[in-house]
Amino acid sequence: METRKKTHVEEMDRGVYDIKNEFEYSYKSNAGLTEDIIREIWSNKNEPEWMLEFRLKSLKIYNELDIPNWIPDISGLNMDNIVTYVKPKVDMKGDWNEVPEDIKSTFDRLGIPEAERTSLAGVGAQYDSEVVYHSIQEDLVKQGVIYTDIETALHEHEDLVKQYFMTLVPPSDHKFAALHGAVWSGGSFVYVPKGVHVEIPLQSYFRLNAPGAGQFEHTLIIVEEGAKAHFIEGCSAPKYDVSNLHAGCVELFVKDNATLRYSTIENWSKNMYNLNTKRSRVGKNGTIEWVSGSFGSRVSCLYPMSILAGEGAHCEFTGVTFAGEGQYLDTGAKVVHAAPHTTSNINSKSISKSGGAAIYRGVLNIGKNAEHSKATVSCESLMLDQISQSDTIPSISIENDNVDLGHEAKIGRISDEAIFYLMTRGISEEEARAMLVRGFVEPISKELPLEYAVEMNNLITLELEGSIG
Amino acid sequence: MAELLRVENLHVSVEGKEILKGIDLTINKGEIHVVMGTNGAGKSTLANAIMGNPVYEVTEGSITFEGEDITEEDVNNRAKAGIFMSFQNPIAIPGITVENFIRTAKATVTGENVRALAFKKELKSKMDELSFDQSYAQRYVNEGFSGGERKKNEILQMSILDPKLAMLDETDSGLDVDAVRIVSDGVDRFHNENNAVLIITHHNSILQKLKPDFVHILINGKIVKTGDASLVAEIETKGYDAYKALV
Amino acid sequence: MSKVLFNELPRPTFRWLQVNHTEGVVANGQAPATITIDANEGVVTELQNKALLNPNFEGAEASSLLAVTNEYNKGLAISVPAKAKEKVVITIDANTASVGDKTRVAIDVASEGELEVLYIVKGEAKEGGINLLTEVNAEPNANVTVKKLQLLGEGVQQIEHRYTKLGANSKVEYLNVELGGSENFLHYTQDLSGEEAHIVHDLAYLGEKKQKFDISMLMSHVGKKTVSDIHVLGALGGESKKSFRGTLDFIRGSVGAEGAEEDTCVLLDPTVKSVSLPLLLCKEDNVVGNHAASAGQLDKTKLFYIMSRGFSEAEAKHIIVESMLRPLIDQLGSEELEELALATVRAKI
Repeated sequence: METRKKTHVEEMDRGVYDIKNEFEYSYKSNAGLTEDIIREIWSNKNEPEWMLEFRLKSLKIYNELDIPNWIPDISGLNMDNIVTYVKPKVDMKGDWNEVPEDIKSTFDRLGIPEAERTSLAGVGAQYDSEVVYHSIQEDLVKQGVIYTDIETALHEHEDLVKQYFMTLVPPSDHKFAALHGAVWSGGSFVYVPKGVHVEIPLQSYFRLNAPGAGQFEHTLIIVEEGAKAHFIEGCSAPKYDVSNLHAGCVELFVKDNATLRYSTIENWSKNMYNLNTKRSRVGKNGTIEWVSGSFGSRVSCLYPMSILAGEGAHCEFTGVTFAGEGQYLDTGAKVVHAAPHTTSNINSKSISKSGGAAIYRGVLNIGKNAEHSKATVSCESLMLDQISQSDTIPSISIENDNVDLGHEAKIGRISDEAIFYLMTRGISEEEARAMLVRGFVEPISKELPLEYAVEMNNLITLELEGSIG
Repeated sequence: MAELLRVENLHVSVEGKEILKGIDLTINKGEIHVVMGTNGAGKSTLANAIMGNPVYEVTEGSITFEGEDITEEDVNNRAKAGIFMSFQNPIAIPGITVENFIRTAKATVTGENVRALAFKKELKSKMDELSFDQSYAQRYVNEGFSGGERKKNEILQMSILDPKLAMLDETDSGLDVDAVRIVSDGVDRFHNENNAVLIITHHNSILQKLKPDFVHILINGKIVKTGDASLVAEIETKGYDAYKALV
Repeated sequence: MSKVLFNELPRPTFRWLQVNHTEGVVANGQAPATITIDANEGVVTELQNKALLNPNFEGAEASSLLAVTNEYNKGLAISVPAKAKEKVVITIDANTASVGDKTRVAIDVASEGELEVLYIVKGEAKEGGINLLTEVNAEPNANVTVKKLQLLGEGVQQIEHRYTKLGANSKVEYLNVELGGSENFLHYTQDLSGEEAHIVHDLAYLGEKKQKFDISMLMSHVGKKTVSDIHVLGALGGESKKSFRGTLDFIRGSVGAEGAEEDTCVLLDPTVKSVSLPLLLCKEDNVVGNHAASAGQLDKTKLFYIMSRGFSEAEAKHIIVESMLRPLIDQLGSEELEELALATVRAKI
């Protein structure tokens, strides 16, 4: 009789992340989505006329579209009750020292000032729909790099924003893109001029605090010809009874011969609905690299998409998804080869335990024009017990003969042989399992900057003594 | 005490089938024992059972190590007690480097913190002794390693973990002449009057340098003959036929 | 005629991909095919019981499944008693100008029985469609092999629904060599209910001109230690299209199950289209599931090697495609059929 041994891999310790702040809010829009609320939001931000039109049109589309039939159950989310706009009682500050104590302490606990001290190029921190604190290093400014919150960008670089804003993810794309188009607020704007190499990663942090507030931040990054940048996005939110929604949008424009690396750790609280849309368009010989760790949220729909539009464009995707109790994480990657000599490489790993469900949903399309293209996909799923779920739902479509495609997926559990081997070296069964899980996600953690890798390993909370560095 | 391992009337089954049918074996400090036998006789089973592999079920008998009964003991506790097994087919562990793996194992087995710099030095010198290229320290355990490299990795671990009883399961199979020499040199360096080695083999190439004190012939789950080193040469020329008849 | 949806994906995905199902129209034809049966006395009888083995079976498409379940023009029941060994050859010959055929076969193999069925689907018909339903009930320890060679004309539609229930320790082997047909909607659902049930399914296709191969396979691992092994292998030339929806579904409790799925497609012209949806659904940790999909042109090294022996590029291509399909064709078991298949392959490439 086989005795079933369960893996003891602890749920992440959410201690630091679930601190609520008693906070005064200077403004709170009514629950529910009406034209009036859109106008309120717009006028509060002093946005140009075209943006009002844009928001109203998006609202219309939102009301017309239906929710896709294949996504996980989001019935726990009452859209009308989500308060979409909250502005904390603070004006944007340029200097960390001038940021109010409450807000500062929250970020202190989340480690942002430390990140600043280790000379990251700049930090934009969002606190409830407004960017509270922002700083950027001088040499970047000298090089012509623009890294600011998107609201500021809309005022100071209107034409640039207008040229790109929601052109890659139009409101008509799906219901949550339309929602985003109507009520978007806050986010980062990065512009890297031709030939500029930004060596240090740009980092930003989100936080969701007010009950019922939704996060609709928009990240817009433009990397001009021959330029190079690395952007890190990491987010957290405290636990609440009221359902929380995150319908953000990320648009990445990678021009010819440019390179952009976009790293994320999604660590939303277990009551969050994370319906995020991330898309990148890559020009000739350009490269987009995605590094993605999905841990938190109750329900996640996250499929970073890369459109390889220029000849020789390349996409690299490395991701890990960890679904624990009560979580339904539907994530994946989409790649569209729309030009010749394009290449892509997707490496996705997922772990499910304690009844969680990890779904890999992918798309690989090689179009008629994409001759001499090469694509590889590797999906590995690790199940840690027999009450969880792990599904792989890939779609591969090829319309050109001169391609080279390989796709493989594996599902399984930690092998007993591997555990035995580690135990013969004195390691306890629990530690052995934890080591193997950590080894499983190692390809992703090694792509992240050190503090993120450490955060990620903490998220998994492996009980390993004499911790491997 | 001089006695390290005592196996008494050991019966072991795998998936309901009995492989070992009553093994008696005593190993004292400083000794080198060799277990030889035909394929399927149960040699690997014996080593695995002593190590505590859950796939191998002890249905009768006992295993005692340094006076303590370890028949029911967990694998990792046996390792901590000082038992080591060099695997016949070591598996790959992607994501964990050789250096990190061995350092962690050492910390766990000794129960003490392992200082990074001191360990690095020790690792380097042991790798040099085994003609094991330094670059392997940063590679994932056994991933992409040839058979010979995996075996060297086993001996490397043994030399650093410094067990009291080292069991080598077919460590010489699949190795070329040079690798066999390096491996047996490694075992020879390791062996002293305080530890013991149990070698399982059915060729004898590893025994060129290591002089066994006891040679046991295992046929069909039973030890049919125990002798000294001369038994090895006898088997080499005459095979096992004479002993098969004894079962 | 109204549009219907073929081969619905068990778990739908992004709608914009338009891969959740294939839209089509069920073909209409005039006369039924001529069905010839070659078997021992008493093994094949008229089908009496119209109830479906599995009432939830969805088939390739709802309306055509309903039609062939209840309004078939030929209904056969094949029954093999315990420990007996039988072989049955069924020829479906669409020999009129326009064919409209509905054939239904219910197969029951008792404990430790052995059955080999060979389907030969062919005919001169220029238009219409054939609709074939096969249900296989393999009792514990039974052995069932179903081979099929399909050589329909390029104007004829094929719809095949097949449902299999595997009892404990049963072994089922399926082989399909699909060469003809304008549109082929093939649907295979396998319930591996009994412990240690084992199924192997090899399917080869060769597309040219505007042919379509729309294949759906669903392996449901219910019993412990069940094993499935799927190989779909083919080449597409001209403007032909192939869609493979292969699902390995490990139901909770299928401890020790193993499933492997492989989809290999050789692309011969820039105007072809290959769609692959190899799904892996899992609710049981103690399983091994693998799938692999690959697509590309002919192996350049092989091409070069053959050409260096004096063959032209076109000839070399023929040789390579043929050698790819050969191992499957060779398993058909009858030299005559193998020759026929090869001749068709050669004519096509």
